[in-house]
Amino acid sequence: MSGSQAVTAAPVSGRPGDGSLISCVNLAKRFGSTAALDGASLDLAAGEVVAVMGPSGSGKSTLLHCAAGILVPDAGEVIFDGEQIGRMADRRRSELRRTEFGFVFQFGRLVPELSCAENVSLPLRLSGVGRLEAARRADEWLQRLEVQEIGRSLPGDVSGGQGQRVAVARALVTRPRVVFADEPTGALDSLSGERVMQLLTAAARDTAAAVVLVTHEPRVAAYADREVVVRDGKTRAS
Amino acid sequence: MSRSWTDLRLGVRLAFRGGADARWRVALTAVGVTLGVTLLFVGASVPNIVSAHNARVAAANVNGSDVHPPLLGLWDLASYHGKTVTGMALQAVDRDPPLPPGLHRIPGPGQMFVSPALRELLRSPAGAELDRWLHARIVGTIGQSGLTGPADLRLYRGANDLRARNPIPIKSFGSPESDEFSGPLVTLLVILMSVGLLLPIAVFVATASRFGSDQRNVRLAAIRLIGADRIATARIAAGEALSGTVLGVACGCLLFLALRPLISQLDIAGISVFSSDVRPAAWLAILIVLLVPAASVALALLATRRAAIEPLGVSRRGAEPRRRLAWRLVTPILGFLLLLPLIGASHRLGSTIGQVQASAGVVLVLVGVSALLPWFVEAAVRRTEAGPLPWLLAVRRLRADHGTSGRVVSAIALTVAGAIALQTVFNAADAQSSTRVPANPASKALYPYGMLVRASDPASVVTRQLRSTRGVEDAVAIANDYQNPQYPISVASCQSLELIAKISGCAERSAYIVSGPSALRAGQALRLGGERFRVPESARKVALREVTGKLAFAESIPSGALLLTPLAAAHLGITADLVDAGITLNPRVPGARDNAITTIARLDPLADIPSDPTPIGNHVLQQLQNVLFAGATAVLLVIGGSLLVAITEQLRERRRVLAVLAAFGTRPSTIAWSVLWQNALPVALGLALAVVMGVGLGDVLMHIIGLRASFDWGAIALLTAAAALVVATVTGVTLPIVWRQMRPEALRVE
Repeated sequence: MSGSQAVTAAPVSGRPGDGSLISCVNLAKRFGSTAALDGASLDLAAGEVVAVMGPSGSGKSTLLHCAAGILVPDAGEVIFDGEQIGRMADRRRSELRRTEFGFVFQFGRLVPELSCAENVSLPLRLSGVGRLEAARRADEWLQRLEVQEIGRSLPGDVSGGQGQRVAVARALVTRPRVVFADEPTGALDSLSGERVMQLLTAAARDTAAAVVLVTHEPRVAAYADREVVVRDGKTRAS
Repeated sequence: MSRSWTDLRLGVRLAFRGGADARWRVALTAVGVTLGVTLLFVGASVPNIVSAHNARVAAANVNGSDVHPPLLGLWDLASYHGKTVTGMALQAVDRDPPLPPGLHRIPGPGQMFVSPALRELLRSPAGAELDRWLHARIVGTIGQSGLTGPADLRLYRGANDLRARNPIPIKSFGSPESDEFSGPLVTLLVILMSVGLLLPIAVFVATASRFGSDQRNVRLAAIRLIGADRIATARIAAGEALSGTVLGVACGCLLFLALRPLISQLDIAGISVFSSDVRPAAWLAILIVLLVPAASVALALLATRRAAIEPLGVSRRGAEPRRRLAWRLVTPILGFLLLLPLIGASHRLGSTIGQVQASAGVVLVLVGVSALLPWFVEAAVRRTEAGPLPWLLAVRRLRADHGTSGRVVSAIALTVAGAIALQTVFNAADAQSSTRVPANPASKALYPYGMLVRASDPASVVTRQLRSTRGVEDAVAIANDYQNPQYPISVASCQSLELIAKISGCAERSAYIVSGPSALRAGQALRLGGERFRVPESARKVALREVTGKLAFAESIPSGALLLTPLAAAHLGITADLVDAGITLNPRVPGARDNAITTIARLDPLADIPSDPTPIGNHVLQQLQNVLFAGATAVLLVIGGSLLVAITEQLRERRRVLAVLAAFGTRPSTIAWSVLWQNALPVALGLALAVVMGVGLGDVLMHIIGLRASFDWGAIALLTAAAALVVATVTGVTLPIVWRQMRPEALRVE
């Protein structure tokens, strides 16, 4: 699917534009009395790597969740490939996340009782791919992320860096069009973090996947084509 | 000392002030322990309930007297719409007759004292028919000392014609003890019921005290990281564990006290207890109050031993040691080894040592179910790789940690195994019972006996009135005089006599002697009740017909009895006015049975009408069986509640993982199925193990009391299905929680 997608040049601004893969326009989202987003916008082209930066509590994770269809914004709209995500039924949004998106979270968030290889094959199996085929593709990705040797280990038995690489493999195994990475190196030492970012961005570029990278570390943001800063729920291009 | 106190206080503070999650876990533990402690108190009250019941039954027992009894009595039992009404007709002979417990005077003729439950029934529309049958005025209420329970339907009514009815001559009321709950069988059953029902509750309490232990370990690991040593950490863990448990014990005590009055409202198949009788033995109560918190501390410390500390402060269990089968087999084998020597020596159950041996054997066999189940589950899931995704998630979850739900399932398996063993013994005892009333299809026939009808031809009066009753198809009656057992006399019309005996050519003054050994012969001169008469010369020997259908009542006519027509009886000056009858009812006429009883009651309010056929000697067994089902149901429901709590807790602890799965687009049905499999697999294995162990235990116990093996597979299936239903229901109830926890919003950490 995404393999046939043309890789577009990285746009220079954070403003929504025609031909975007994802457009978030004037998003607002409140949690109780706290406004997490207040008119945030984000535009992502196919194959583009965008870093969303900002201090803690600025709303960057909420922006990522809204863009990925995990949260439905209170106002504004998220358009993916011409479709409004906010108007989709929950079932359709789940399908979208299963087939078009990949996710990497801080601490990996692997399913603890499944082996690393099974964690990687999980999104494939959710999409109906057979067990053996899913295992084969998972092995490929573990090899690509240089963690093939821990395939049979449980997540609790591997290091943080290894776990995060497994998480990256899991995010990319379905060859998604967009990878959402929320502080993917937040729990890692700098060396492991660097390696994870190298592997993530390289693999994403190989598969022409766009990446939304939430981070507050400039060193991590340097891997992105451009940066968007979120402050008090509002975005601005850096 | 002060250091220990500080650590304990820190533990308590962490439990209550550790945020909403910590308070939630304390609440879960407290709720679980509250339910468990309440049931433990109820269970610990059983010895008092049994002894109080025995004392109440004993108090109502009568002591007979052969000479000059001050009181005459006649048991007055009735079955009314499935309920048993117990009573006695009384006739004072002396000026100062003994009083039954709960009465301040003997009721006069046409008067009755009733229990509060019977008074309530008689005042309600549902009791209108019974009111007509009893045909007496309520003049007082039987006091609590005269009742076995608040639902006891009991009456004492006055009479003035008991001498004509073979009454019991009563010297006094009250015997030292009742034999209703005694004997090796009952001893064994009470042991089995106590152990079988209390053991799962103990497991359940232990489980409840460990709710949230994983999160507790996380906090303790963080505390160790900042410098607390192992002992200090243990004290903090103890403080934290004690918070929920002590709160639960306190709430359990209060709930028990609050429920006691409500317990008296319960009426389980006619069994009820006064709230004042529901009190645990003091030593048992103290043991519960001390042992439950102590056990929770011990379990908390055991759980912390497996906590490992990582730099991020997250505790992680060390690798689970592979479960070994060998030592798990020790408990059931030891249990059976204790029980086997009792086979053929049931008399040893009468001694304390024998009872301890039997109890220990039963405990060890049942604990064996809990010990073996984790091994079975692990063996079943160890090599499972294939299967759909929900199945994979479930077996991997089980492989990683059987956890709380696994322990709860152990308690369910334990309950079912104990209940099956009990059911097996009940069934065997029931099947072996040889004392049954004659076949009496209650829906089609009635056999009233002992109707006192003063008339020249009482049998004909009864037959006529019954035949004119709506819903009665046919009636046959015979009047008897068995006051002198040596010379039994029965009087009936020729038509009735020809039905009862092989007679032909019966005339108005015919007389017959029933074949068999007899003190009577034709032409014999007799003195009966001060009157002289002569057996007619024409009396010839006749055989009784085979007793079938409505003639079942004729079974009571003894060999050698004198059969007379009414005119022959009148001619000889014989008065036979106690009438037995056989009535055939038309099942298509609604209320036919009630109509017939109303007619009988009009003829004689003290007539005895056997209730539906029940094994006579099995009253106690039936009561115990009812208690078993009620107890097993209560335990299963409570354990089901704890399973719900356990699953809820597990889902809360896994909400991040569930949220991640949701973020990936996992269908809720996938998770729902995985939760179902995760519960169903151990439950299926647990129930299979429970059936095997329960049947095995039941078989050994039957051999101990010398009964032939007899299994009621229907009842076993019912118990097993009930347990499976509890688990399925709990899983169904948790689904909304699954949906809620699967919301990807849980990914938010800020």
